[in-house]
This record gives sequence, C-alpha cells and structure tokens, in this order.
Amino acid sequence: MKRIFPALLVLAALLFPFFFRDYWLYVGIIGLYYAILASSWSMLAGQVGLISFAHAAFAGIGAYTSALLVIHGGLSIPLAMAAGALAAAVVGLGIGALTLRMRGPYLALTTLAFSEILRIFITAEYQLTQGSIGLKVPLILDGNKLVCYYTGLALFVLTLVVLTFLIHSRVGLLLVAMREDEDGAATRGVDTVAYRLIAFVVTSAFAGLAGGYYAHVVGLVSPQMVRIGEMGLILAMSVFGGLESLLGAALGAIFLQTLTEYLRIFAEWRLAIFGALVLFTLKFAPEGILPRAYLYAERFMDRWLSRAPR
Amino acid sequence: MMLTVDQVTKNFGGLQALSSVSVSFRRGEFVGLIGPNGSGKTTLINCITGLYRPDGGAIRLGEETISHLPPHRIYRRGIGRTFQISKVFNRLSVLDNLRIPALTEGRLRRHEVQDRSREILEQIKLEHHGKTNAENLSGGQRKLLELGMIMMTDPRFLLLDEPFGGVHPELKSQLEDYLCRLNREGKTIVLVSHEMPSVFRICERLVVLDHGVLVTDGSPEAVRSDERVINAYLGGSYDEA
Amino acid sequence: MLFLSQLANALVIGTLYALMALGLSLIFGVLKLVNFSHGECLMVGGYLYYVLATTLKLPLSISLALSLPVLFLFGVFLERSLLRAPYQRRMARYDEYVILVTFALGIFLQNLALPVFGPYNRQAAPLFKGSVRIGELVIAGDRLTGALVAFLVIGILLFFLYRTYLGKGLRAVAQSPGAAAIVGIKVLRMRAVAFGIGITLAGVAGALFGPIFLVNPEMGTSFAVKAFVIVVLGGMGSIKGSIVGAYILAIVESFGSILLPDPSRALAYKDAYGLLLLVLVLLFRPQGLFGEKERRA
Repeated sequence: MKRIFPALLVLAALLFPFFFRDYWLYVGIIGLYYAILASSWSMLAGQVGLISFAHAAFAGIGAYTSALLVIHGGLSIPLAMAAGALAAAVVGLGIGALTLRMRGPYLALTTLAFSEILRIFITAEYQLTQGSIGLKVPLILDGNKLVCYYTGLALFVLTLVVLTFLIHSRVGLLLVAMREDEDGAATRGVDTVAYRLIAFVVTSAFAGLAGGYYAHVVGLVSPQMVRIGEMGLILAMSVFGGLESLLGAALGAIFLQTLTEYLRIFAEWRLAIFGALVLFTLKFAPEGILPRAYLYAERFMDRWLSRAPR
Repeated sequence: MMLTVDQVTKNFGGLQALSSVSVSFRRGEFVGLIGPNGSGKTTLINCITGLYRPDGGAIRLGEETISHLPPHRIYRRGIGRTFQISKVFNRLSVLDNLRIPALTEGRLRRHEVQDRSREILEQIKLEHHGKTNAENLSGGQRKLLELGMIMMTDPRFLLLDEPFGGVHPELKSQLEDYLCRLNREGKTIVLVSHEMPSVFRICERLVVLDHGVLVTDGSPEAVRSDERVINAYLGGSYDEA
Repeated sequence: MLFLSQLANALVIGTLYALMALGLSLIFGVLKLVNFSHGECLMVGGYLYYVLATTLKLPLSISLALSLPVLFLFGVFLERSLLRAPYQRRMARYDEYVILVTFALGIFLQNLALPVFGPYNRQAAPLFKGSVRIGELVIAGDRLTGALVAFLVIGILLFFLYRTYLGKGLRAVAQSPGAAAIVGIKVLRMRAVAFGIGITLAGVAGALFGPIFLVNPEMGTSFAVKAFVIVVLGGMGSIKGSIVGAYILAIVESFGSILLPDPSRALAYKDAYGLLLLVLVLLFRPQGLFGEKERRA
C-alpha cells in the first residue's frame, strides 16, 4: 500500500483535468498553490522544528516581485517567477541571519512582526502596488486553465522532489541530529546556525515561487495574500495533513481547499472552523488527522484482506 | 600545542561556578579532573568547548584565543568531548551517529567515512549494532558511542565527562585500556570521573576543583596526601569514593 | 508644544503598552512560552467591556471591574484545556506545539469575532469623557483615565508579585520550576494562575484601548506585534524590561510619526517602527535590555 498510494495520487493529479473542467479545475489550480506552501512549511516546522509565520509573506514577496518585474521590467513570466523565489530567499536570509542565532521563539516572533509590516507596506505604497485594490498581473498564456494547472502540478512536484532530496541528503541527516540534540550536534562540529539557515532560506524560496505562480494564474495580487489569516490557513492545512510528512501536508492543503468550496455558505465562519480544527487536531491527534486516518484505513485493509478467502 | 585556561570565571546568577581558574594541558598528557559534586568540573569543560562563554578570563589553544568561538569551531580545532549524560542522536542508527562529526569536517570522502566508521565500531565494540538506533543501546554502550563519534575526526584533545558512568565493569577495564592506548598514540586526555580507583590508576596528573576554585594540581601521589583535597571531600577516602 | 504633547501621548500610550506586555512577559516567565494569541485575548477584553457597557448597559466602572474575573477564568480555562496536558506528559516537540497551539487559538478567536460581531469598528464609552488641560497641553480624558487605570493595575501587579506569597510562588516557578516543586509550590497551579493573570492584563489593556482606538476583530494583530517587540526589547521574561520597553516603543512611535512628512504614510507606518526597533535589538543586543545573555550552541 505504501508504494501504490503515491503512484495513485500522481495518476489522479495527472488525469484530474480530464474529469473536472472550469470551476473545479480552478479550485485545483489554487489548491496546488496551497499544496506547495503547506508542504514547504511543514518541512520547516515538522522536520527542522522552526516555526515561521512569514510563509504567506514570502509568497506575497514572490508574487509582487514577479508581477512588478513582468509589468515594469518586461521580463518573461517564468524568469520573473524565479526572481520572485530569489527575492523571498534573500529576505529569508536576512530574517534568518538576524534571528536564528538565538535559542527560543525569536524566529516566530520576528516573522509575525515582519508579515504584519509587509502588509502595511504593500497597502501604503499605493503607487507601486495599487494598495488594497490589488495589482492586475498578466496571466500565463492568457490564463489557459489547462496550462495553469499543469504548471502548478510541475512546480508542486519540483517542490516535493527538491525538499525530499534535501531531507535525505547530508544536510537532512545533520538537521535530524540537531533536532535530536542541539548541544550534542554543535559539540561534534555541526554549524547549527548555518544548517537552520539553509533550511529556512530554501523553504522560503519555495514560498516565493508559489507566490509567483499564484500571481500569474489568478491575475490579481493584493495585500490579502499576506494577511495573518492566510498564514493561519497554511498552518491549518499542514497540521491537518501532518507536519511530519511533506505529502501529508500537501494533501491537507487540497483537502481543506476542497472543504472550503463546500463551506461557501458559511464563508465567514470558515477560518473559525479551521482554527477550531487545528486546536482539535493538535490536542487529540498531534501527528495530523490524515496520517491518523491513513493508519486506520491501513489497519482496516489488513484485517479485511486477512479475512478474505484465498 | 597547549590548551590553556587562563583565569576563567563563570557565574550563574549569584553563584560563582568557576572563580579565576587557571590550568593548562600539554600535548600527550593524561589528566584527571576531579572534585566533589558541584565543584565546577563540567562547567569548566563546557567553557572550554564553547557551550558556555566565560564571564572573565580566556581559553587559548596554542597562541589562539578560542573562548569566543562557537562550539562547532572549537570542535574543528581538534577538541572533542563527551557528556556526563550521553548526548547521542537517539532516532539515528549507530552508524549515522558516527557519520555526523565526519560529515561536518568536509575533508573526508564518502568511502573514507565508511571505512573509518567500521574501524571505530570495532574499537568501541559495537560492530554488531551498526544499524541499531541509538535509543536502543544500554547506558554504557551510549558512552562508548559518544567516544566513538568524536574519534571519527581524530581530535588532539579528548575531554571526557564521566566516561565510566553506567559502563559494565568488564567493559570498564577495556575502556580504560582503550583510553590508555589513545593516550600513548599522542592524544591529550582530560578525564572527569568519580571512579577514583580508575583515575588514580591511569592518570599521570590530577587537577582538583572545589567550589569553583582550583585547589591543587599535581601528581596523583602528591594529590593523595594533600590536606586541602581531603578537606574538599569532607575527609572522605578516595579509594572508597 | 508639539514635542510636549507627543511626549505626554507617548507616556499615556506607553503605560497601556506596558500593561499588555507585562501579561506576555509574565506568561513567558512562568510557562516559558510566547502566547501568540495575546493580541486576540486583548481583543476579547475589548469586546467584553464593550458588550458589558454598551449592550448590557452596565455602569462603566462596573463593566471594567466585572471583566477582570471573567478574563482571568478565560485564561485559566485556556491553560487547562490546551497547555496543561502536553506540559505534564512532557510531550515531544513541546516547544513547537505551544507556538502552533497559541497561534491557532488566535486565528480561531479572531475569526470567531468576525461573524459574531461583524467586521465593523465598535467604540465603547470611556470612563471619563472630556479632556484635561495642563497649561497649553490638552490630554483627552479617555487616554488619561486609561493610563491611570493601567498604572493602578500595574502597581497592584507589582505589589502582588513582590510582596505576596502567591506572587513569590510565581516568581519562584519562573526561576526554577524544579526547585519550586521541591519546596512545595504547586507548579501546575502557578502556571494556570500566571496564564490567567497574563490574559487578564491583555484583556484589561484591550478594554482600555477600546474607547481610544476602536474595537474590531483584527485589532489584536498590531497590538500583539507591539507586545512582541517590547518583550524582545526589554528581555524575554523580564518585568522591568517590559515596562521600560513599552515606554521606549511608545516614544519611538510617537516621535517617529513626526519624521515622515506625508501624513497618510506617517499614520500607516506608525506600526512599522516597532519592526525597526526589533531589528536593531536583534542586531546589537539580542538578549534585550534586561535579559540574561544566553549562548546559542
């Protein structure tokens, strides 16, 4: 089941546009944006143990950088998106260098403050960003939904592959060791600050990339993107899907994004419901609801298979 | 190359854990660092290895002052240590534990790391536990693993904090022999231990701390008859301690 | 004149900032966690006072007095339901858990207030309307009474912490939970009390801010950011640091806004000075003004 499951997922993702058009395809396009954000955030929070509240803010930086480079710089969209990821990485490097030297929740505190000030900045600098009205952005191939969807899928797979590679690399091993015992790692030659910084910068860059993608598939970026509530949404998706696994967090994103569509009538209650869901999950199934469900499903399957006549 | 502790002071709130301690360790020495509980032995090792920054004084390796360096840089200058309560990476296998220090050095190649870790595994008698997770090792095996980890990068100085704690008596004498062999090969060893028989048997020089003050520094014979030391241990006899 | 009125304003606002930052600091000191829902607890206090005073039409001073025990119980309830069990069973990844759970609580409270009270700005009546004139200096009554009440509450808090048995117990737990437990202090109860008091302080600050600024579901975020800046500036967990840090932030904000010529920008960026301060502290004195220096291994 462990091997079949991801293969089925890939197949389902590839075939998705053949069964769902227009509205649900669009939901899928946005779902992929959140899937990239949730999986990269869960890598940081779950594998490295760093809580950043600037993930939505980094997506915003990626989105605005990419949008402004296309509008004013005449850059091609893919190049601008790469620049957006780079911009997020550079800002991440600055914040990380400032906060990761200290033990304790400094990163969480600083990133939260940064997100809020970024929102103020985007809203106030009307001439550059069109403020809260939002900035109109050129679309990928005039917004061809099929192309948008497969672009998102490709970026999502890229995120998973790169981050999984990182986890299984030398850096990943050292990150696990640091998390097991920080002093133990430092006194055996591990430059803990540097490796934390690498993880923070890389995941922030993926947030920036996701932001650029969002800008050019939605066609509008606004300060709404960097609201604290957006960050809450990313957190909810990751916690729901399980912080310990990248794929789990991504599935959590898709699941909650789909749920959102069904909760349309309760639109204004949506984040309150998700907030309650996170509190519930953290209290009763801190490993995530989806991993817990998967476990139960697996057990059920085993029992069912062993009962079936051969 | 000499490791020099020069008038190092360390305070925790109102408590002076080390007051103006000066001591130096020469190349190839085998030094016992002893003293009652809370006398500042571990604090001194923490200062040397960069986990604490001294409030006063300096620590030098040769001519270079190292007391402002972060722990990983001090390690890379060839000063390895173990901990009183073993710090091993529980959810990693024994082999992965051994790989950690070697990976950070950057000068070992992949196959060199592999050869070296096999070699170390044999030396610390864990050759059948390479794939075992560290959390499943006994207390004594964890102590050995810690020692093995730092041996991966072949440091010049070994600062060992209670390496015999929880080690099976049979294994203990093997560990003593191993340490003596390392010392003969040129390693400087600073041994913190409450196992007085072992300390007096294998160390060639003893440094005694009490309440953060260096009480005496000399040969085991001289220390054994030093009154201040006897007072420090409340008149207790070392052979029983 | 401008200087004097800005200074007076800074002192008034600073006292209110100190109130909310002390709550955060007390919680950090005793529970060793940052309450990321602090801003939303402040908002809860703002709405509570508004509902008691405006909807239920209770006398203003009674509304304020009544909100104290309610907020305290709310805080104790939150500690019991979300924070106690993981602490007690030494949950793995506890440090990350408390950040996630308090942040999620904030998101929950903020988005619960949104449908319940609507996105509108509400304004509760201040204890004292009108204004006070000292020479040419005019201070609005709502600000002055707010600051006076805050001053009083801070005074009571300090007396409580340094002169009473329970307060000394709290400080003992903050310094060393293990040692406190050995001498018979009930650590779990102290944690609940500290969280309750911390939330009460935030809530009272919210109630006092309510008439001055406005009450709305999103008000918490900017106040929370200010409180974070203050505790990092003052040194995490330091009582003295929180008070000094609060006045520093208020002064910087007050005079910072004069520096920008464009008035609409000046207003918008008022909240951004905190980040500047935060960056400077992290660069040059990461342990804060009164914090203990800790080495990052």
